[in-house]
Amino acid sequence: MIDDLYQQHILDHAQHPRHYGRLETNSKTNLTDNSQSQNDANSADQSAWQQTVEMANLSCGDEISVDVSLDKKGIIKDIAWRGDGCAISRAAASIISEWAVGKPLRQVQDLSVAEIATKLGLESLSQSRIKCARLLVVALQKVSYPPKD
Amino acid sequence: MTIDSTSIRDQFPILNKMVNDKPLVYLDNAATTQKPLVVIEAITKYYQEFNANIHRGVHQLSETSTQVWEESRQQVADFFGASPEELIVTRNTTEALNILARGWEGQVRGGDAILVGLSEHHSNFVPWQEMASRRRANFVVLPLLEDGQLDLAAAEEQIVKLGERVKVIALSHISNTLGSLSPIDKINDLLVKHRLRDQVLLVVDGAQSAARLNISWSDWGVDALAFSGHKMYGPMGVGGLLLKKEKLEKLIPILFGGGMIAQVTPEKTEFSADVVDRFTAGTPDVASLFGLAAACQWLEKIGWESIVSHELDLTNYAYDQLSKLTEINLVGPKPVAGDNHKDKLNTQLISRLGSVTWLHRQVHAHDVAQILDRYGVAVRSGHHCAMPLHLANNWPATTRASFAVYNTRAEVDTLVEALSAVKKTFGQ
Repeated sequence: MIDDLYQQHILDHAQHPRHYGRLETNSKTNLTDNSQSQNDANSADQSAWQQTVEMANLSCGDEISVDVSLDKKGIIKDIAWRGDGCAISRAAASIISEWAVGKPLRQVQDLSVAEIATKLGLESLSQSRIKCARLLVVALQKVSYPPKD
Repeated sequence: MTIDSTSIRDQFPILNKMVNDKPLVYLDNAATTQKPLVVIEAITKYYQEFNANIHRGVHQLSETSTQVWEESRQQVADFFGASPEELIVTRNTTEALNILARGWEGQVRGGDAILVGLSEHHSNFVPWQEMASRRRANFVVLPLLEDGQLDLAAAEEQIVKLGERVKVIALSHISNTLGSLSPIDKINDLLVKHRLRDQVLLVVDGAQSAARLNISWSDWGVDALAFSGHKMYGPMGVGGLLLKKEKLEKLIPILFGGGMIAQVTPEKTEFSADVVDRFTAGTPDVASLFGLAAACQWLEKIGWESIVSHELDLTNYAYDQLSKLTEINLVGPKPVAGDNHKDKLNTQLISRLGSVTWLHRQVHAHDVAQILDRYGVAVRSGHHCAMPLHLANNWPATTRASFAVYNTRAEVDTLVEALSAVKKTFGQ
């Protein structure tokens, strides 16, 4: 039986999530042991601005924390996320993180459900899984950029 | 007495449905049961033959509709062994508990205590938490034993410690997450023992028990029972609150408008002297109550002995089969052990009824439910509106299979087979 929602690449991302972990900052946080983060030397780059946002679908038991670093133009320099959740929420966070690096934050925040489905390789998302797949995007919508300092 | 599942299943058209090219195995009955033809036909019949607004109409159709309403109220009350004067018709359990909590809050003062169980559904948790916060009362969550049953010793300790400050105790009859039965009668005995019975409103959330246990309201020591029609083979949108007469007289209405008044002048309104009318503001859902009355009669025809033994058999069987799977942890108490048929109707010996819930060791509950759906198996995943219980146990989400009179052991087998596909999909 072919299980569309649980295609190999979705399972692969869910079980070996990319950009999983934390971004190093000047002040705190370390990469977790099992981190797959693609984090480069951002921490040394003074032009980067970094924020951590959290989001939970408590009714599902999905939780995510996301570190995002942005340059002065609001382009995402790197993302790292960690949390618990279903395979769809993890795969979506992993796939979208990979895609988002180098994109304007605004573009990632504005991703539609249909666009997220396409990135997951799905024709559409069922009502019950939209919340799962949007977890990272909704978390990123909490990022306030430019910073008010 | 056993249930003839074939003849019962024939009465549920929806059970013939195919889901993902597989026969539907509906195991989400704790969320809502399917409806037998007698219920579906009753609703149609009401709209085809009786529809008119009730009360105050002198025309023939209004007269008939009023009669349908009153007879249905009588039949639903009879089903619980109650009098129709003790029944407030609501939309569901949640509405019933809100009407009760809001209307009773005048009886609770600052410093008083409201006790609820840790495993309560939010509908029997949040209204009391809100009441406590509005009244500046203490909101006390009663702990559970390791297997998920209420810790009676801890409950007694609280009752003794708080003494006369205890004003409300609210417990589920059967937990929607753990399937466990609350020791309601023992709590009642404790209140009597400590001479606190009269001052406490003992509230039971009967959402999961109304169609699984024979409730004998007039002999029961509890003060209030809330239930949902749609969880007892009746339509959605109708339920009820049973309240002992002396308590009902003290309850303040929270919905105002037509139907519940005696006299309205520009200066003031006098509420109806009839206690039930006082709580029936606006046009009620007569068709749904007529459907619920049909469901009650349908359940009575099957008989409690058959219903309880069937539900217990499925719960036992599912618990045993699922406990063989190493990839899951069942949560909540074991159902009663053994096959002692004589004891099957003794609810004191049943520790769990109507559902099994588990935590998958590797796969998130939503993924479990989604893969089971591919095999036509409908279960529920999440926190089942019992977040305090999940938080206390550190369960991110659980999966629940819940049973009804039309389910079979073969369907439990399908569930177990489908669970092996979960393992396979995730490569374990």
